[in-house]
Amino acid sequence: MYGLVNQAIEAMVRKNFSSQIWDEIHQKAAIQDPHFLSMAAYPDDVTHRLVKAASEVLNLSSGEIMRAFGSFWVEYVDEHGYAELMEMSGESLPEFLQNLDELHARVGLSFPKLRPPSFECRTGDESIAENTDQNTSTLCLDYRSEREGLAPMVIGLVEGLGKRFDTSVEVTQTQIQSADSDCDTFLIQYRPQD
Amino acid sequence: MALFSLSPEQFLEAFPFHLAIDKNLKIIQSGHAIQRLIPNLIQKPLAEYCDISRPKLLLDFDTISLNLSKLFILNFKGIELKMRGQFILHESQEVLFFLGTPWINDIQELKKTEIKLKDFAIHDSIADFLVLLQAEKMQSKELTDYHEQLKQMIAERERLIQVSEQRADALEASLIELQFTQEKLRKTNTEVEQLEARLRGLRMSQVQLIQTEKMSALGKMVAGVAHEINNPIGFIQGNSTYLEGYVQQLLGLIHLYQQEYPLPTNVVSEMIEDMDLDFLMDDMPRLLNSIQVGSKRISNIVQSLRTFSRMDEAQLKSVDLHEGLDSTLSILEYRTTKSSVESVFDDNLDDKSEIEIIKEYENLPLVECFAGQMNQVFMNILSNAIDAIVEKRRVLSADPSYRPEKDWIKISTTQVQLEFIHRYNLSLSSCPEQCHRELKICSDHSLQTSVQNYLKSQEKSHIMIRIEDSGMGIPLDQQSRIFDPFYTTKPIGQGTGLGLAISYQIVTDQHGGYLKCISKPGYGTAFIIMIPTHLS
Repeated sequence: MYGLVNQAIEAMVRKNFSSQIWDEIHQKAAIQDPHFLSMAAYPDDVTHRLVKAASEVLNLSSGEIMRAFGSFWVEYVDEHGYAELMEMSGESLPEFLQNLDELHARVGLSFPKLRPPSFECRTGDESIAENTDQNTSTLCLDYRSEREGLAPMVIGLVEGLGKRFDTSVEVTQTQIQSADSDCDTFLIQYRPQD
Repeated sequence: MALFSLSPEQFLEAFPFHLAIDKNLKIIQSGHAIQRLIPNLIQKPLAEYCDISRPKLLLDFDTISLNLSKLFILNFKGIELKMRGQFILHESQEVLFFLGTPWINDIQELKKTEIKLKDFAIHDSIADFLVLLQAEKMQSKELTDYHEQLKQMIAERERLIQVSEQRADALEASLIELQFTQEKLRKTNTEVEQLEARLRGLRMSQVQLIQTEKMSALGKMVAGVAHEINNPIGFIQGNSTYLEGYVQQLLGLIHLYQQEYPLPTNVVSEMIEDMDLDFLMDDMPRLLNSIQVGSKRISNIVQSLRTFSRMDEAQLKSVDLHEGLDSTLSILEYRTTKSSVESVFDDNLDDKSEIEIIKEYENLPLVECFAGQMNQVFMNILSNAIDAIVEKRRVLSADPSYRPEKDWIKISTTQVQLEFIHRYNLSLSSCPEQCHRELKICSDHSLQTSVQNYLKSQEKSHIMIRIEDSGMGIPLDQQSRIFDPFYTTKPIGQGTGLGLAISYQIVTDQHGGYLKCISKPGYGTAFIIMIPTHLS
């Protein structure tokens, strides 16, 4: 993972809790010098240790940590130099989700060590959505990654994009990556706020 | 040779920023992105919207057509947009295509131009370039921030180093000051000790002066009393001799009258009976004798007092030390005889309450000394000996089963030569005749050595006086302090603690002698005085 991800974890803990909690987390994760360079590549294990330590210190599950991080990530990259890129990627939730894979592809070209996931966004089957009204639309997002356990982060990411575009979202994982399926699939029900 | 080509629609999609220009340099076609950015530019002169920034060529159809292999940079007016690309001449030779893409050095510039990422063709790498640019910019900013932090940390470190150096200097200065203060304190302590020693010396001198004055006053008083007493005593002694003669003669006359006139008259007989003449004649010689004895005794006491005070003699003189000892004993006789010794055993005093005085005097030469002061030493030591015995009796009397034994004070004198000290062995011998205790003190090697060294250094003949008592002895923890000024174990008012201190000074300082105490608790005490025969 690039250091930007670990920096974002630190920023999330400091913002929502405190610097002392962050110190406790990185010490628990056995990371003595938690100064990350955003464009430097770090072993995935560093990020995993931070998430695990945060889970223990904050008494939250790893899934809850990852989901919160996914939402925070949208806000973080927007505030830390990539706002224009975010704007270029779309002006609405569905547009952004459509461009999400291209965005990750381009980032992967520029930062080959990133090994970004891939996304495929398609129109959702509204018949399988529950309690939808005429203003609610659906999308299906297929998520493929060589890293395991990051599905909650995708949910948080979509929720974060919903906040960005003033769109209420409800994300439901309808498929889990396994031997029978090569991706996690999420049903996204969204409705732009007036 | 290309076999396939793009349809116009596909061409528009592949080149969203393209321009098509006719021979009159009018814009006859453009990509959707350009049209969105610059509406209504079709059929308008190219020159109205842009000029050629590079290469430096005229905006001329033919000129451009001759430079198709070059990279062109077009500068668009009004929207602050640079386009980079190439010109391609259509096969009809009538249309020039400009195939290019916006040239962005900074992603911030996109905001001004309102270009979106979606405006770029998917194959166009400018978007990736922009991502890289932005990442590099962020990284550069990050490194700059870290560099700034590092500079601040270095500055802080240097400041801390400076502070710590200043503190180290201050600490060193404080240390030097502390050492200086310690040195001052040490000197002050030394001065204090010296002052204390001087104070002790002054006190001793004061005490000695007072004591000397007392002794002087006492001596004067004694001399005065002795002088006053001597005359009447002389009368008594002188006249008593004559009186005795007269009495003998009168008694002889009475006897003669009784022989010549065995039958006296009634008046005479009555008078003889009334006065009990027989008893009178028998008792009168005894009375006369007791008067003579008493007056003799008074005379002896007066002489002892005069000897003790030595007021009629010069300070330094050769004297018989035995006389001084005897005079002192005479003065203290009231404390050693059975009529005077404090006895706590019962109301009826008996022989056992006496303190026997044992004298072992050798023949001594006259000793050059300060006689009055030596007598003072004898008085102190002998008084202490008596006090020790009295105290012993008081303590032991608490046991009802205890039966007193005879106490003694032994005074021995001898002349000490150097070779004698080699066989020197202090011991308290058992009292002759009636004392059952054996008091032995092992040879005091330290005493022998110190005395030996002293005698060797002096190489003169000395007198040794040893005064021993049968008291309780001095406790071990007190023995080292008995010569200290003002040290006493007696209750307040009974002892000043100065007697032995003054004695020590008299013997050692004024006579260059030696005064040692040897004591064994439970057995007794011995004081050894050694002074040279000649001082001068």
